[in-house]
Amino acid sequence: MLESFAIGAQAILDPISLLIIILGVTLGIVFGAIPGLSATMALALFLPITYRMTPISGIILLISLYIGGISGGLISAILTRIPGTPSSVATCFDGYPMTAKGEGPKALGVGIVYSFIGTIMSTIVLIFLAPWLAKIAIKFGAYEYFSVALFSLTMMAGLSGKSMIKGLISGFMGCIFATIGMDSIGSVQRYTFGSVQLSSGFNILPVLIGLFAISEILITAEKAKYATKLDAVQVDIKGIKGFGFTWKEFIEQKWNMLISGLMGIGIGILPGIGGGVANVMAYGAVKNRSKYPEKFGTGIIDGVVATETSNNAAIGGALVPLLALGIPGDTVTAMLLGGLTIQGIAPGPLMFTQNVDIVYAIFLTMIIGAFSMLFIEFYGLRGFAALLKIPKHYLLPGIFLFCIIGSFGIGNRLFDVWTVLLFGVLGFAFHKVDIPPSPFILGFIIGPIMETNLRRGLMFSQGDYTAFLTEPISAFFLVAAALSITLTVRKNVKNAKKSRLQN
Amino acid sequence: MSRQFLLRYKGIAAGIGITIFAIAYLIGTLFIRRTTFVTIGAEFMPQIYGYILLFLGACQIYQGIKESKRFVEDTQKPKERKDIKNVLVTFVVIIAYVAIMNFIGFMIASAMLLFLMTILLKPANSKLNYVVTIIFSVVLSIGTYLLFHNVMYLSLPG
Amino acid sequence: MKKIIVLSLVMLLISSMFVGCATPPEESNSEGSVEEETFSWPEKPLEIVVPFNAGGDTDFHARTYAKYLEPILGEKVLVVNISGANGSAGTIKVRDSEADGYTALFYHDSMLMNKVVGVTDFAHEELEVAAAGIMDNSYILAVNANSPFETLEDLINYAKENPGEVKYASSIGAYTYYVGRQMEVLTDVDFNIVDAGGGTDRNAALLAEKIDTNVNPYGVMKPYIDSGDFRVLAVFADKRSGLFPDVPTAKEQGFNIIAHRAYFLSFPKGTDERIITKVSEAMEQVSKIPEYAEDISTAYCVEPAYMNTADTKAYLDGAMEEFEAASDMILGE
Repeated sequence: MLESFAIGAQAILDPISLLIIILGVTLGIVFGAIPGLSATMALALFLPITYRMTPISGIILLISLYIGGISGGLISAILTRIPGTPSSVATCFDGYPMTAKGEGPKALGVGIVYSFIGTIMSTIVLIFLAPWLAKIAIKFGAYEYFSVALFSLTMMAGLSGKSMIKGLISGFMGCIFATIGMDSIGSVQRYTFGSVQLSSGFNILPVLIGLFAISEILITAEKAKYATKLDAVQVDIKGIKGFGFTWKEFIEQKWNMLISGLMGIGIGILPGIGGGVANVMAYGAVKNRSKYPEKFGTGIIDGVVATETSNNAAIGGALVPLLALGIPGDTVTAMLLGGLTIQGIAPGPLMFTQNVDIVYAIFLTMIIGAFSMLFIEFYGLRGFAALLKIPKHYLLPGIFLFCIIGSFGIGNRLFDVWTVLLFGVLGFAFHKVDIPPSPFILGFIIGPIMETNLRRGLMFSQGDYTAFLTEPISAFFLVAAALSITLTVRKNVKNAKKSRLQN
Repeated sequence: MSRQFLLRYKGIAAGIGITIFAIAYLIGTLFIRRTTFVTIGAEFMPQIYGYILLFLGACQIYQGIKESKRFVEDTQKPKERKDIKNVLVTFVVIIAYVAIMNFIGFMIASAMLLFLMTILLKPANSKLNYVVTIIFSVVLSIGTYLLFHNVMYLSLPG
Repeated sequence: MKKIIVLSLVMLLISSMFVGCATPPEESNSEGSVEEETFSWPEKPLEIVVPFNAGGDTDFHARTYAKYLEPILGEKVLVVNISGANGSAGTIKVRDSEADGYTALFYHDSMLMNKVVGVTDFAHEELEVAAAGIMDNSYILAVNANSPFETLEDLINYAKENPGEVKYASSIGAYTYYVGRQMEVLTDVDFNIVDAGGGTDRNAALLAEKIDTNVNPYGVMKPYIDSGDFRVLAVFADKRSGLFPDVPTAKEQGFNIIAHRAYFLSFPKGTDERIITKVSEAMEQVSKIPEYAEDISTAYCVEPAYMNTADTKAYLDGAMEEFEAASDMILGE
């Protein structure tokens, strides 16, 4: 192993490679931090450039962009309540309330440190356990995916805030909007009304931008005329010391950190699920085991710890099936695969023996990238916090412009821009009647996975539903889903009784 | 039709809206082409989602009615006034922006949009420096265009 | 309010001034297009639309082509990814573009499949087909190394005796599904045709022995073939591939199953014939460059196979006829 590291080090420990990593991480952070732009877009724009680079330079650039991009999402989520990527949806839950309380820099500090820890944790797992974890990952077939998806869906109830019904409405609306377009088995058109553009369905990014960013603009417009001072957030930049939180707080979070990191890795290794689900699941899990679940959502660091550790841990997780099996889980890893393939490197079972230099260069890039991210964001912290000093009526139009560019950049077509507007209206309507938008995103991601794998499973079993229960892993998650539903309902009934007594 | 009235019945309104949507969606499932690849077709999950949403809509109406009965008019708190007209204008500006982008190009459209949106989102009591706003709008739109179009080869309109 | 209107006009002026400065070449170009005089295409960068995201096989082939076309045409060749609707969004974009020879589409047989499935209502007939550069006839059938099947015949015989038991994986409604159904008809067997996702998902499924067979281009399964995890039973081509000559064709084994797809370049309808000819010739030159052949064989295990305009059209017409005849089967009706 040490020898392999030496080979990897030889490949990337030169000034140019280090510069590429630092540049890549910085650009990634910028793309992640600006709502509308994302890690996915950063990779899509830079992938063609890597075609003309050497294999090592190309791959380390892509990995650095990926790390920076996922972490950068926390900045806009915390400061503006607009998640830049699906991976940071749950970061808004406690991140933004902290900003509203004037603790923005602290929230950023926590997010940065735990992004770093998440990346490092998953890198270690990737280095030592990748081939072994890959063997577990392929055990997950259609039955297992369906059950995991169903289990994840039960988390919607936990994201609901005050009213469980409204949360579920939001979640199932997400599932419903995801059914629009060609179905995944047999390309049957659903609700496309003959439109070719609609037949590929809505892309997650414009949906996310619409629900969060556009609705935020409309909400601001609503209050503009009568606002005294547009809920101006106070920030004390001079008072920031270090990362803004204490050792004591760090020690207190150790279990949250560990659980979230492991969840991120675990969800990350399942191709197709990934960071967008991991952050929400980790938030739900940490909230459920907390002694003070009622404080979640009011601005406590536990929430930020959970989401930021898990979404960055999902990076290393996602690289397990990519490197060891050649299986990409999402658009980002698919582009990484493309980047490697074009250089004539085929990720797969022989990767760890035939391309030791590339594999260990990737590992080292992740470690160096994580440290670069920590330093860049640490020194940038004051700068990010100072963004809050920009009046909202300049900040939001600027963000809007990037949202338009970002959604246009997905497929170079205006359809995705119209999608943003459509979901902006939906987001505003949700806001008016207090329906939370976050479960919508979860439903939108999970719904198709659940449906596709239910139908695939039934093809495998030739129509026999019991197969979902006789496969042990699948059965385990189905039982977990059932338990999760029972517990949530019981908790809600109890809470309802309690509030009735208090009234 | 006071604000209080709207606040009181918005739960019911949301429930009714969701219910109507669920019914329309369920009717839509009838038009999904049937296939023989799998025992359950492309219409199966939409039907499930539709029925669940229908049920949730009904629950929401029920809860909305309960809430409206419990509703107490809050006259003591200073009213947070809202301006729906401004929302509509903002939204129309956004739609117009996307619609004309293809004709007048990204840069001009964006500069105009940024300028108008800044005015629309400006808090009433603060003053806007128009020169700063114009510089902001023009520089940002041209800067982003040059960056994304010329450096990153994104084929932005115009 | 008045102030605002005046100010926005001022701004419009300022920003249009900038635009004027930024794009003079394009305007002067449109004036000077006198066609009769000399044929001087290309005078500005050519844009090749890839109807998928960056990173896939189509994107790779388009970009590699672009790289080698540039010096031949003497202009920059840019690749633009317009994704959506399984390639249809980009196809429509090119169909509706100006027929000035500066926008082209790089796509393959799936364009036809999209029409059959009903995503679009047109295919290559509404475009000006230039030429095909790559014919991917590396479709192979592989099984897990632990599988008892050593030859295609073993597999077919087993499937005959045990109808509905052999799990043949494909993406339903896509090309490999069609190949599977073709096999069923030809050999009179009944597979359990299951959907196990795209190429790489199916690799995982075969590795975990959740499926019995997998049909895909060689390049997709190469890592597993090299590692000895998969065994290749047959290649669905006319003759053995020069890149993996050990694999027998299905034809040799007595089953006449052929599968292929062509990557071709096309322009909007009405594009100048001379442009089409020039591009077609340039593509022929590219296909003869040894470095080019090496690039595509290391990445995707395919060989260059140039087809001129007429041949490409004939090929596409034939494929379309074949798919349309089988449309009930593909649609699952």
